[in-house]
Amino acid sequence: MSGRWILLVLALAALPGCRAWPQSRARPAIIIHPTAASRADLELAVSQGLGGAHARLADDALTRDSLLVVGRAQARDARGLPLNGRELDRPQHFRLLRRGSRCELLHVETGESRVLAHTACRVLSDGDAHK
Amino acid sequence: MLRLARSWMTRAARWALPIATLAALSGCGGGGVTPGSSTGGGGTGVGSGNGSGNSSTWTAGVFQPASKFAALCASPRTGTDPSTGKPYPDVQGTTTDENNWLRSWTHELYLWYDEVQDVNPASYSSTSQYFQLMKTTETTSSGAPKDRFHFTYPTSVWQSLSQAGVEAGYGAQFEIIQSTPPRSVKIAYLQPAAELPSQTSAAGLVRGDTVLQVDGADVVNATDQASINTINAGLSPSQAGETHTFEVLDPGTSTPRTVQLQSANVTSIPVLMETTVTGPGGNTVGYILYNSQIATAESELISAINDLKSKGVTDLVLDLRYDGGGYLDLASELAYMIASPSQTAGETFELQQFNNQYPTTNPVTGQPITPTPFHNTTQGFSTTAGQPLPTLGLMRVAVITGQDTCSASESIINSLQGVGITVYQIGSTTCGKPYGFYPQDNCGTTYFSIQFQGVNAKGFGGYGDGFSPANTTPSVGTLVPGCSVADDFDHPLGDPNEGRLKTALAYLANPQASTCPSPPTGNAAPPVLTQKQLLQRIFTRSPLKEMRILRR
Repeated sequence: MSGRWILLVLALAALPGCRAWPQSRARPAIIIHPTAASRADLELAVSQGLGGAHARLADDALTRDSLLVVGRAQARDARGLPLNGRELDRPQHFRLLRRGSRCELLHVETGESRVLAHTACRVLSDGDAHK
Repeated sequence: MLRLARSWMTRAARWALPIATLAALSGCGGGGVTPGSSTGGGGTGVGSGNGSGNSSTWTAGVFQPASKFAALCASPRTGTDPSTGKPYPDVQGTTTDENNWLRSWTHELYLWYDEVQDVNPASYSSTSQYFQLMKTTETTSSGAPKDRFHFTYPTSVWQSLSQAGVEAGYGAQFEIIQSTPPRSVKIAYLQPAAELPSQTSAAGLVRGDTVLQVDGADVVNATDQASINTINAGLSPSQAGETHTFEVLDPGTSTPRTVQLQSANVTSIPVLMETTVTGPGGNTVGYILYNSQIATAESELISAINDLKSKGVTDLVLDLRYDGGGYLDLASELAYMIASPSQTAGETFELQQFNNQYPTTNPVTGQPITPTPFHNTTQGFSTTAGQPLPTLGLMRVAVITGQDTCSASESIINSLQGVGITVYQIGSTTCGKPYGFYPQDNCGTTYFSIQFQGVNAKGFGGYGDGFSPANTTPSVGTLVPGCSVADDFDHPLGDPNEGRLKTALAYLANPQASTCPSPPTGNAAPPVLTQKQLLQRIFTRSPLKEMRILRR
């Protein structure tokens, strides 16, 4: 009986989605060994965090820095210049965190976190350049 | 939480939902939801059950509130709006309803609303055609159209997201020097090696490479539409993983070579170079190549300024020749970091001026109009917000410009001049865009219609013909002390022998007209396109990509 409860708790903990994680300490992290699955994981989390629109990310997103800055894709005019060259809005920020063995993506502006179930990450060390 | 998550969407987009919702709930019986709207009435009844905004009651010169027609769509969208997370507000309407919305919205918010000819919305069966009429037909003092920035975009594309600076491409920036035959297309710069797709690295491309063919289409001379489409598709890949073949001519050679490039999601580095050079007078001059005012620029600019400060620079050459603008707050931060704090303290970086119906209130946000200051702390784009910014404390700066220097980039020049910082301009006339938008969705199309002009601390913002170095021939734009110098593709950017940088250094040492080399002729003015060309370029091109090559 207790074994099944443990499995259930572990399974629930592994489910992606947004939730508060009040327990263990989370530390800034970067992705290691990015894969197609981890990229899809990240794109989905960012997209869901911002309402569902498609998000174009670099293949090496969050592999060098724990901070991901996301905004509207650059629309350009006929001359190749930004369509809105006086942008008044602000971008959104996501921070990759490692909490225990989990990789979480924190949407800084909302405090919402999503678990990246198919992503391997490690805590940023002092030797890593990060913002 | 969701509301917060969506707060980054444009103020206009946030405004759209309540307008549309109210319109739908009320059966579109008016409402005057748009704050500060001075219009109202004019119709004689309430829309019918099919959602009609009472389109048949057009009377010249009488404008109903735009809110009355918002989200009344010939083809209503269904499903969830990703900008709100709620169902689309669209209800069944007609093309005339959409045209009516454009007419009223233009009358309410367009900067030059009183120069727009009032056209019966029912007389056009195409919203795109009708929208093209919803702008001024006046010209600037140079004879160019007063409004060269009147666009539409599919909303679904406009709402798409990207990591800051990430676009599908090759990591090579193409510069269209001449867009009609005989065309000239060159590589202006490449991203750092770490950001380049492997095939671009292997191709060994350099600044100044001339593109002769794309996938077999003649870049220089082709006039058929199929070739134009091929060239544009190759120059501007729409997604990662596209392979295209280019014939290029390296600088100083006469034999073209063929390279194959594969597009990838490339990360642009906004501050591509920061270095110091020794000026003719022996002093240390800082040089910053700033190509894109994207979020990641904030941390890079701070690093660059700190580094230059530590090296004791006494002058700065700011290279904005390929900087088409971006976040206005970043322009403000950079201007602050360049100037002496005594000049910028408490001063206006830029003030929005809307049409004369809204002298004190921002009609889109409903808030009082307040100036954007010279930010003296970080704004949190890619750094922690609220940190003090460094300053170089200069009273003068040389700015390198070109036709791509646009919008927020031009505001750096204008704002510094507004607080008494001397700006020397080296290069060619800027694009001339002292204007801004609050893009607005209606029925799946996002409209860009100029709504405000940015003015500096002295109240000046009239540079619709661009800023021009004083000796520009022929004379166009707002003249700035400096020299007209053509782009020098024979030298790397940042090379003290590169034509524009070399002149900037000389001019800083001796700011006299006699310092300038003979100005080029014929290439200083921004390209003036015919209406037909603009339409062709905007509406026949895939979204998010520019149609940069034209048929004559």
